[in-house]
Amino acid sequence: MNRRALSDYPRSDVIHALRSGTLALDLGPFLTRIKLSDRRSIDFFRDMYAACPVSIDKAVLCDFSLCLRPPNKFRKYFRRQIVPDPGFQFPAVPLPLEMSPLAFEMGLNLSVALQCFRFAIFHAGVVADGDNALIIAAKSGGGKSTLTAALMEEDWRLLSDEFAILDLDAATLKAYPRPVSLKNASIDVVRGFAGSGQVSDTLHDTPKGAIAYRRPRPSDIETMQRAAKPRLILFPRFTDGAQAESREIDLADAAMQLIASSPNYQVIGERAFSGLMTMLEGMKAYEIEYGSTEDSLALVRELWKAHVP
Amino acid sequence: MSAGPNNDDWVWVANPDHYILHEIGDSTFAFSRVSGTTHMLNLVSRAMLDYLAEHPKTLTQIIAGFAAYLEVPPEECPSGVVRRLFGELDEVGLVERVEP
Repeated sequence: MNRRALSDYPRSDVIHALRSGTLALDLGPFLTRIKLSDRRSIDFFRDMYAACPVSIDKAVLCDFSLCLRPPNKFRKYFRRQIVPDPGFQFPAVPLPLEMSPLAFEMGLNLSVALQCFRFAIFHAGVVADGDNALIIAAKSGGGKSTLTAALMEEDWRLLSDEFAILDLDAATLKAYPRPVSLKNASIDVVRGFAGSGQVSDTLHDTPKGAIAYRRPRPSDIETMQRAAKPRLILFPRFTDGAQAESREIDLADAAMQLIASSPNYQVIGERAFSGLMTMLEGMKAYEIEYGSTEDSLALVRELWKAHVP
Repeated sequence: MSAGPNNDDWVWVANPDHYILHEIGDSTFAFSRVSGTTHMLNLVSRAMLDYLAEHPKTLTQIIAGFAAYLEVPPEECPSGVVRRLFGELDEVGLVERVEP
């Protein structure tokens, strides 16, 4: 496959390939064919994915296919709306056209969560220090993405903000370094330490509140074929004004929480069970609570130093 | 099949071909090949699974023999607890009814 970084292609070629649905995004273990038609999602894609390898060869076979389209013809012209179409029926709520970057990211999430069966997928952020990975598992609003973005500033590699992608044979985690999804107050926090240029425009009044994205760094893309061995699982909880503290939790409980967060564990079945059990060998799990990003980073440093040689 | 109203002609067994066990700390994870679901067992539930894997038993035999299997006095293993443990394993399909 002839592929180059997105930013190396002429702008007009990229726009034509996106509009005609011939662009293939080659990110981590997945090739995704993408079709976009509105200016905002095209600009978002060209900006946030600039360092990612893509092909504009329509003959490339892809794992997934994602098209952003109006929910019906009427909504193409009046009070324009958009839905992610991952190629199968899914009850996605139409969003106003100006929220197309959110629809795009949601569509990529849907594609991986519901169509990937080569790997076990768990809902978690993953960063790596060299070849050792830290899993950041949290419910929505728990502080997963803010902590992931903060660790990027400490030179951790971004593997993913959304999915721990488990290679079932090697018991290692695959990188899928897409933009980190930031919500509400965390947007300004991350702009503060990463710089405004690293964060997308804010989408206001989305179903999830205000949303912006922290772009992956070129180094995250360059090292994305390097898998990492998970060593520690954290369940972060941001509580305004909280004293920083960590509490070790039973690895078995952590495993059950990971299983509950997985969209494809039950479908894969026995191989997912065996892969997860192998992955967990020798790992530790902690709940951490904190009231500031500085405190969260201090807790991670302390736990990482204690458990990872 | 749930334990529900039980018949003492029924015999029960845990078939190790139908699940995979993996220990993490004091807990055992059991993956049921029949249902495709994963269950977390404590030490006592795990012991009952092993007890039922030895050979088929009626519920009466299970209640009568489980305390001795655990090597604890019967009063430390009341019949209600044994029934409940058995019922939980039956509910998730880790034990099966077989022909006597």
